[in-house]
Amino acid sequence: MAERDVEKWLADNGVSCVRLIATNHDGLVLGKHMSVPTFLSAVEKGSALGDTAFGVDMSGEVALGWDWGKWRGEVADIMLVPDPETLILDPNMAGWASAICGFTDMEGHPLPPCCRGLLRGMVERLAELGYTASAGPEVEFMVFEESIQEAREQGYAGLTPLGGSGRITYLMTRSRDLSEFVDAAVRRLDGLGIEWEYWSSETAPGQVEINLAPADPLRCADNIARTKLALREVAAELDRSVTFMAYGIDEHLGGGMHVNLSLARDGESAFHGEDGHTDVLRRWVAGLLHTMPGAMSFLSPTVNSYRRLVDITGPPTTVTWGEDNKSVAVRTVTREAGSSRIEHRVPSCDVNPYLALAAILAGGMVGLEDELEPPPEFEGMAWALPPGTAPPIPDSLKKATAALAADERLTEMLGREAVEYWLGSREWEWLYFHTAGGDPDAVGEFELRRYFEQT
Amino acid sequence: MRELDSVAGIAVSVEDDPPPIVRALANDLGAALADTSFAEATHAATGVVAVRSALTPQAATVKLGGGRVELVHGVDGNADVTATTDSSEDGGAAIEGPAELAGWAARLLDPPLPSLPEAAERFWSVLSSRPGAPDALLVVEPRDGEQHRFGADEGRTCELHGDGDGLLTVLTGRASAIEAAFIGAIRIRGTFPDISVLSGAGYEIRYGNGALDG
Repeated sequence: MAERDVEKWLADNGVSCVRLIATNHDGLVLGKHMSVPTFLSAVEKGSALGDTAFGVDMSGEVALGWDWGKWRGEVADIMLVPDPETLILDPNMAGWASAICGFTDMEGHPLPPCCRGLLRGMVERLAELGYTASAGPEVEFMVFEESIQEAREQGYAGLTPLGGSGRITYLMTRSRDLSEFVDAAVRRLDGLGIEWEYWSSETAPGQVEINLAPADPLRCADNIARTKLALREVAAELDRSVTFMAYGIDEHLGGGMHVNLSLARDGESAFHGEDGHTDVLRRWVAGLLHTMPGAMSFLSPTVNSYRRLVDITGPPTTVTWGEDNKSVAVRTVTREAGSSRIEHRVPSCDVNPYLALAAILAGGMVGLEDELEPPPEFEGMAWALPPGTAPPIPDSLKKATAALAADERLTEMLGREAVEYWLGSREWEWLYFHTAGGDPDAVGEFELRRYFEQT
Repeated sequence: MRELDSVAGIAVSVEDDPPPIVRALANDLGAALADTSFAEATHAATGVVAVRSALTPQAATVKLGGGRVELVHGVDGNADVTATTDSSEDGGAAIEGPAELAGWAARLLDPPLPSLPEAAERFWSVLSSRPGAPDALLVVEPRDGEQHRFGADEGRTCELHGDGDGLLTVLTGRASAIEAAFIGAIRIRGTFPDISVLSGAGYEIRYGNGALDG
């Protein structure tokens, strides 16, 4: 929507309040509620907010330890800048609208840790190579009978999964309370204009997966951010609670956010060839595997994320790929041109969707630009392998952070300032978790309080 | 397990991917072994020491015997000596167990600190190599007028003021600059971003160890 049309659109739709929604590097959803005149001013020149938007962690602690960059100061102002293209009526409240925002400095330059700006940059770089990407996420979450207030009182422990205790994927006989919740949630998505394809119960009790329709990566990340917010709001309205923690609610099963990604050139699939995998697909996969250790902290950003990486339970544990093989990290599906894609199975459900998609695009582009060749397709089950069979995925945040610090090519692709800010924040995440109350061997109260509502 | 370079003839091994408490113990052990009498006591020591934090779930086990020391996180309940850190107002450890091994644990957990000039110099050597570091560091002990300046004569200078104990806590990485400032143990003349970089230097001194990350 052009800026000049925004005022008319707001008036035509009787909007009196606009909710500005932005995601910081930690994945925290931040923003402001604005009157229409203030919003119109923000569309033109942004709205100032303190640099603490990038300064505190998921527990509200000041995150320390690295070079913050020249744009930060003594709680200096930065700018929240709405993207008019994302303006929609907000079905949450009559007379409300919402818009997705990015962050800039006071001169309008994108901030290095602005994840939406980073993803936009990756999409633009891909376009320069002649390709467009489309991404469809599988959003997993867990929902409980207790309200969020009750969950807080219980320290998020001992909650009752909604829908019964069955541990069977796709089960249609979970109790009606689960489908009442998800039906309400997808109706909210309809109201938000977010196209969804299907939802089904996942393996863990109370676990649900909603598949969103493929969209360009920036729109996809916006949709995920809005979906997560909508699910929390619907849960609050129905006196339920929902979490996107990767692990800790069920003692054996975690949650992922697989990303199905296709690539097109001149409107034709770049992944589908008459004779099997195209060179573009092979290079894309090679880049994803080559950069996977370095990308891991974007795909699993918290200490909790790594707890889900357990052999045979679903998440991949090795840097592997294969056609229609769900035990590998990158599954290719190339039977038909219209649905040819890669399914990246590594991301945990607590990812920052902008950063996860940026890392996936960056990895694929490393493969294209450097004309990398992938290792042979993995044959058989890629879990519980004898040592030396396939490279393991980094299994801790500390290892993943070190791998990114060592990956010059991925750093160059994503941008050094952005990566260095992220590395500092991951070092803090690791250090604060362990020294402030986290238990390395078991999910405890500290971990639940830190992640249940914030991821 | 990862084998570190032996110090004073003691073979030290540390678990893969150790958490901060194990890293800090490994660093303290390496520093303490520079003391000949502690090294001799370590050669002679046999048994298991459990180290727990009174305030958090942090815990580690130190296994000694035959001139070897093994460090891992967590405790298994069969320790000969149990040391609970942060259990007194001065942050000291409460230690229970046979006297000889308990004495060894006490020395490990409360190693002699460097002098203020030594600590400040090491802190600057770490700080100055980190991105975003100020051009200079000035450490001021106002009670006796002791001052130590490092780095450029001009440019952006960060000043740390405080008594010897407060400054040493920060300069040895036992508390971050912001923690020490918050409780009034030190005063700072600098910028908020400086405090972040100073804190990073402290974390590197306390928990960093190239041998553990290699």
